[in-house]
Amino acid sequence: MYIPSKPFTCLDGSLTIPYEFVNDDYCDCKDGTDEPGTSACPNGRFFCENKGYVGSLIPSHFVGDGVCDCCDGSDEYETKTVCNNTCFELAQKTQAEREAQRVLHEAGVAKKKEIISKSIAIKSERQTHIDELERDLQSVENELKEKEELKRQAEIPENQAKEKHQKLWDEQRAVRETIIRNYQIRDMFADLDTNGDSLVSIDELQKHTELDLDNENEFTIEEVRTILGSDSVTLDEFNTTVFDQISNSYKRLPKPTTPIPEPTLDSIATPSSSVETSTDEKNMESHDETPIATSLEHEKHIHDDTPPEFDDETKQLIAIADQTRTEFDQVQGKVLDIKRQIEDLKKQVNIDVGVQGEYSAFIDQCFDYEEREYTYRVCMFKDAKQIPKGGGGDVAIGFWDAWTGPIENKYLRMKYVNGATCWNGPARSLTVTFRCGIEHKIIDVREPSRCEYAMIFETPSACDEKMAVTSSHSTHTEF
Amino acid sequence: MSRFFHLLNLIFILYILNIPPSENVDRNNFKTCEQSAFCRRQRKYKPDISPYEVDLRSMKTIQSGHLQFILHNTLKSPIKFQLDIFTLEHNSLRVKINERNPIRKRYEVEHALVGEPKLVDVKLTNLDGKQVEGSFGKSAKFLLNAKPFRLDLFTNGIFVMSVNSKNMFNFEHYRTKPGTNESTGENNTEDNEDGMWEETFKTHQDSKPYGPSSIGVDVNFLNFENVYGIPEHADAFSLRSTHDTDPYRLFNLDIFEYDIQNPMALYGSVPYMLAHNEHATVGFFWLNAAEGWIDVNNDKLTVQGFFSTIASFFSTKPTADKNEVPQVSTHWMFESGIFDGFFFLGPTPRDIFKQYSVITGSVPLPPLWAIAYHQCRWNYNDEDDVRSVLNGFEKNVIPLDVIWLDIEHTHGKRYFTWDTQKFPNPEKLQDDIARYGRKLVTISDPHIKKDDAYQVYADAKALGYFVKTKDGADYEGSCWPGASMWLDYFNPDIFQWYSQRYSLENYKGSTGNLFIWNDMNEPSVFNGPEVTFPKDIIHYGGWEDRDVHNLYGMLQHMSTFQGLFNRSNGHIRPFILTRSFFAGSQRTAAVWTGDNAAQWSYLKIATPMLLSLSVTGFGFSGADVGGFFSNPDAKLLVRWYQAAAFQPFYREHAHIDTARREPWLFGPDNTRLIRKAIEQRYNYLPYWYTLFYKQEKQGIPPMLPLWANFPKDKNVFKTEDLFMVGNGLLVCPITEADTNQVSIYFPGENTIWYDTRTLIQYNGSETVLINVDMESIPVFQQGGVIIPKRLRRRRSSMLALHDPITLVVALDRNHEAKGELYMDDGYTYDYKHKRQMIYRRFIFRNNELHSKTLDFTGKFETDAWIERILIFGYPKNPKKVIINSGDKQAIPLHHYHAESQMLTIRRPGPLVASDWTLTIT
Repeated sequence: MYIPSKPFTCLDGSLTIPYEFVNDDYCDCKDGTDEPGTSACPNGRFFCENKGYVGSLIPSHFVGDGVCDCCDGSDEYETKTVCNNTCFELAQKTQAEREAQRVLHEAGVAKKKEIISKSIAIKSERQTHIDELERDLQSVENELKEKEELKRQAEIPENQAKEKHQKLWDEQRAVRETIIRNYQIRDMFADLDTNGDSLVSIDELQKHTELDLDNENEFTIEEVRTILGSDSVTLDEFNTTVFDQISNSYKRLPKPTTPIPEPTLDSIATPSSSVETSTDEKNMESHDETPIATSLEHEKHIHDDTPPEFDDETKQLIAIADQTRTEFDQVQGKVLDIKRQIEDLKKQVNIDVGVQGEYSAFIDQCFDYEEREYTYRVCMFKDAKQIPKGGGGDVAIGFWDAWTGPIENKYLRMKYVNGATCWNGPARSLTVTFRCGIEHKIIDVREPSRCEYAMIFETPSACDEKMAVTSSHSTHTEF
Repeated sequence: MSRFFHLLNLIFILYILNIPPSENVDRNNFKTCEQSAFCRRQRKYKPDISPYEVDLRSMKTIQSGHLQFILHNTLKSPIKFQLDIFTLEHNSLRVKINERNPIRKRYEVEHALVGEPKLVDVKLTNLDGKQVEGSFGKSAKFLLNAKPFRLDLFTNGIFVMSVNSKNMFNFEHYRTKPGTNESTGENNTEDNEDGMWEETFKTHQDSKPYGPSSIGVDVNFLNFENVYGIPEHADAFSLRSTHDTDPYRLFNLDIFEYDIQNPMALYGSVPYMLAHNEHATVGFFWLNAAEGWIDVNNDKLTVQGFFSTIASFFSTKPTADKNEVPQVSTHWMFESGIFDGFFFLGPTPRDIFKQYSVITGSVPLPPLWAIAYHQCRWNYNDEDDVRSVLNGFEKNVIPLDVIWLDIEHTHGKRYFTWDTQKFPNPEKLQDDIARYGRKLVTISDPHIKKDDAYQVYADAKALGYFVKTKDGADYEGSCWPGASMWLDYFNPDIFQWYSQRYSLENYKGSTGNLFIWNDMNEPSVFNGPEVTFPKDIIHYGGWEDRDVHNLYGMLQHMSTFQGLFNRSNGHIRPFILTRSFFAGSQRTAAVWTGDNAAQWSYLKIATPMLLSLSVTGFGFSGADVGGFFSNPDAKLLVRWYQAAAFQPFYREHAHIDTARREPWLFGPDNTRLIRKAIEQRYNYLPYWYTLFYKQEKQGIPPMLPLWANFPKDKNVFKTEDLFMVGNGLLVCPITEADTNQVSIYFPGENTIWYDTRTLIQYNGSETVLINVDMESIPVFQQGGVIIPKRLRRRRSSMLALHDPITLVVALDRNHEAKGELYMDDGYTYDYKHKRQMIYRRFIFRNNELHSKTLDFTGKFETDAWIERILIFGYPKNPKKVIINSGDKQAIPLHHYHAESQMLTIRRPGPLVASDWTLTIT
């Protein structure tokens, strides 16, 4: 390429120049190839011979800048800068480092192999376990079917007895309500019928202005007649046409001369008394002057009622049915439990733990890293947390997402995402980078960007068989 | 890097409530004019006739160039004022007005001026008992009118400025408090207006023990339509009328997430305003460090009455029918101090830059690396982080000169300490950084953590070095470290003591490669009124913060400068970046525009903000690349890198809550674009460095408004979307997301502009649509200017110090061009003391390019040589090129590209330091 006395053509073919222009400290070629020995071209490459070490190409802008970049100092050949030749020391150092790495990887790979073989065993154990559980599941599901049938059978007589009981109770309640209504009607009628002619007339009702529902002006005769349907009504007519219209608004008129006694509702307070007194008119009349509570109070009394206890026969049927239900629930719980176990195991089996299962030892494992202010905890394939040492709640910095290493080494990194959101920032996330080590150990946790955490993790799982081998030929030949 | 404690609390609350925070500043934390009692009083002061009169019979000549008069307020006969007029060299005039016998001495600003200004003789005429006229300097004149007091100023016979022509001069003398024993009882009601004797803002009470003391004055720029300056505001370059807004405020404050396009105060204050029209450039500087407010109004002046007698002085005749000329009337209000006005009479932009720099000083030549690229972030977390960022620059082949450490590098925000877990070996780190000629900058804020175990605090406490409350106790406030105190730099002993904290023995872990960033020095006090000191706290000499507030930040960074200067026994140039500043800060620190945001509008406002700083002396200034708050997208970041490559201080910086944004994190193509932008900066560094040298010598800032180079071109007086670097480069930042074209007006008559990307030529006075892609922003080289560049790639500027130079000769219409090149060792004062420098002039004329020295004493030794000459606009392929240097002759090869009219001369070869002539035939 660089042949004296012959014109030089730039390696990209863009220009041919006299040979004197090569390395004359002026950049002619666009690709920088005419100045391999000077800094003239911004994109040139300078070759450091580096005898005793590895020869290397450096950017030509490192040439002649007063910084020794080649270990043989050849990049500063033209400057006043004095460069010591460090190639021998560098070679030794590199060799030592390489050996240390090799030893490390060798030890690591041994452990890694253990993990892998264990992984195979664990994996088959898990599969066996799953198979067992699936068999169990089948038999328990059969049992469940039986229990369900028993339950169904016990619930039939139980329901019948309960329905009967309910029906009886509904009837009793209907009777009681009728009695109360009759009582109210009679009482109200008596109250309205101020002249005692057994008729409620327009002028008698007109005194009850509270019934003037439009509230516009006065309670006119016409309005009263609309309520009564005629000029006067008998008790029966009152019952059928008037009572329902007025019962909600109706108020007893004050009787200034007679002091109002305390209301005594004992007679209708309980269903039993009301049932008993249903035919006792005298008893009722004795309460003639007693003010009647508003309809709301009546309803309250009615609805306060609780049904009576079941009879013994029904109780027994319920007890039998309860027993079958409990047994059914127990078996159903067993089914769910087995299903969950199977699911968990399948999840574990499905976790991507490396090509050979080298990361299988991480399953269900958590690791801590103690720092000045926080403990960082990563639970593998699950989540990562930041736990403040000075108290205060844990902060989720991410949940398991995926392996995110480069294509050629996918298992170099893993990522946890969607942690707690930062103010003015993203949701927290963690990237774990693995490197070879003898133990599983977090080496460092940082937050290079706000809320984006980076963890370095040493593990035998990341050790490389190729690195564990004694240096190959290619590196040796260069010494 | 503002971060504000209330905000932190708020953030916590918002976090709990999950409420998104509002995007911008909480204006309620900061006063309006109406909430500042003296501003309220002064702003409404508009009498029909001024009660102030000058007693011309009292005139005394104190010395040649210094006249003294007595000034009365005719409504308050016992109160007498002293009016001093100083005629200064360089067409400048100083006017002081102070109380003659005040009951309390009024504060006169110290530390801001370079020294005592030099007087020149004045020739007095027209002493008719009503006016005094004084001529001085080349072409300057003042006219003092006695009744009422008015001062008119003329340059080259043109009437340019008038003081008190709007009767707003209003000087509040010190008085006794009404109702106290000593009070005379007169004017009681007038002396007891609301807010005169105490004032409450939010929960903060200002006790105002000395009562009202403010001064207002109108300064009117006649026949001008544009005024500039009075930084710092996030607003237009040509100042807007404040008719419908608050006045522009000058009060150094830490405004969290400041808004743009409004007159609110920011971190620094320079009470200096310029006015420019096609006839003259003039300036007015009121040396006052108290809280100030300035109203600006564009109005018309009716040339009648007394003005008609001087109407002939107007440069343009008032229109016959209207008898009106435009003017910008300004109303200045300060809370205390004296009137100490400097009037700079130009008349050219260059004269103005010189005149102001003679008074307050110019930016000294920074170290070369300081004008290269800086990488910063709140925070680079630890030594590994710093190293990995440096590696990123190596890997991605991006040059870098400086890496920065924000507050988290310290032990709990105790400055001068290190978090030893994160930075166990800072010296080693600095040595490693320095291997490639790079530097480290660490932050050092003025708040001192209250902690007896912290040596700096314990010593300062024992020595009584902290600022005091009005009751004499040490003032305590809160800032980053929690409870903190602030040193009283106004005391020369404390100033000295603080500077000594920067010595290598006191600042453990520092080396000669470490430089300093002073932030939060307004100062920012999280729990103080308006997030700063209460006005009634006491500084050295018994002065209230009210009197000296705007000086505090400057004193801190001046002391820091002193410390770094002494660290090398005055051998190595310090570098300091400060957020707070005052007139004179430029002598010792670079400034940046504080906490901007990652939005296109903030990229756009950076240009007018930096132009405002440039024309008021701050030629070394920049805005955080990418925007401090929130995350820029790749496009915005690239555009910001491209624009800032042509602005003086070039630093990427980001808030701790933002995502990482180192140049290589946005994909390979954006990495390439950012690399290209940064490399462009490095390519032009020889030009920048030359401009910075000229700034030190002549006060001309490197970044300029177009009118500075084209003062007669009326089309560019308001231009703020374009700017110039020197007189050679016209730069058009792209400040919108999807821009394919921009309309550019090329300034000047008969000028030629070469697109540096395509070499297409454009004519001056024409507006052209220019195509834009993501590769770069449009940058044009002016025909007639020679620009020195370094086209080789290096890892840092210091590693390129002796690299060869390429000269880019852009020919004008007469096929002529000229330019300069300054070089030195890039970091010491040897250029001054030992003449270790090279200053060359290149002239292209009659097909010959000459290199001559501009400084025969210069003797910097370098093997730097001329590797390439590019001539733009060369009409034809020449036959031959010959170069002669001394008795040597060479015939370098040349290449002519006809389409772009570019002539390339290959390897002409002379040393930069030598004289030579290149002849083209």
